[in-house]
Amino acid sequence: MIEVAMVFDREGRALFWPAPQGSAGSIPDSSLLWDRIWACRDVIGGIVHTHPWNGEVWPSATDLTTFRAIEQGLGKKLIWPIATFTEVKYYIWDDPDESYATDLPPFVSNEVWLQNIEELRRLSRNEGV
Amino acid sequence: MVDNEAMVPVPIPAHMAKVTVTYAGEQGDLPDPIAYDSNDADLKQMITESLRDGYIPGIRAVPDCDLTDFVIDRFAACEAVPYARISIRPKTPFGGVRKNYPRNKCPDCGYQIPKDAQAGDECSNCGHVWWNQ
Repeated sequence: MIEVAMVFDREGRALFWPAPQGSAGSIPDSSLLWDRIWACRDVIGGIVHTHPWNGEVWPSATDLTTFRAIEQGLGKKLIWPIATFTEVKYYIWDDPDESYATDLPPFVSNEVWLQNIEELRRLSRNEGV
Repeated sequence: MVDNEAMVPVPIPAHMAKVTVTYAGEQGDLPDPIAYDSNDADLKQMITESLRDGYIPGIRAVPDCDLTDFVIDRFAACEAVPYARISIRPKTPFGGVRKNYPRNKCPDCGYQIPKDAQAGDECSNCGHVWWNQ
């Protein structure tokens, strides 16, 4: 099982699926990924990634500092969903608290979004690209 | 912000590099080339001051800029681009070292690895150093 990610627009539609080159524990830093994020900066809504296990979602310290760095680079706030095989949480920067808080964006029940989450889980189980 | 059109391109000597900065949704090059072998800390300090002062054409001044979680990429001169380049961009990794270990436990002592543990951290119980695998 591996970590995988998907970059999506403001309606939760896939903009691109980065190659699932993560390990069981991480997705490595990549200048290519940043170049692709930058290229779609006008339409990007967020980046979802998987934690390949059943159960509770929590962001790692690496996740949180990456969220913040990418937002500083883009000059805009994004939505940062994390999906395990059984749960999805959506993290958004909270200005008053100066930290990430969970929230529910409007597209969470959209069919396309739900299909994307299932596809991410399938890829995360390493069931083929 | 420095006026792009007023800038005259500066030739880039062999040991120097053009520095491209991306911050707050804007991108620009430092007006002067920088030594290609400058260390990351010095580069970040120089770029931070330039961002705060609005010294980079194409990027508005950012008084509270923070490059802590940005990374430096270096690109040697090549046939297509005949001068060296340096760029600073946000880091993009996801995940933490804890998820690399079965049941999130230290392989030496079985101690529960903290959620925020990073690669290179030591186990506070036995001193084992955790790594991404």
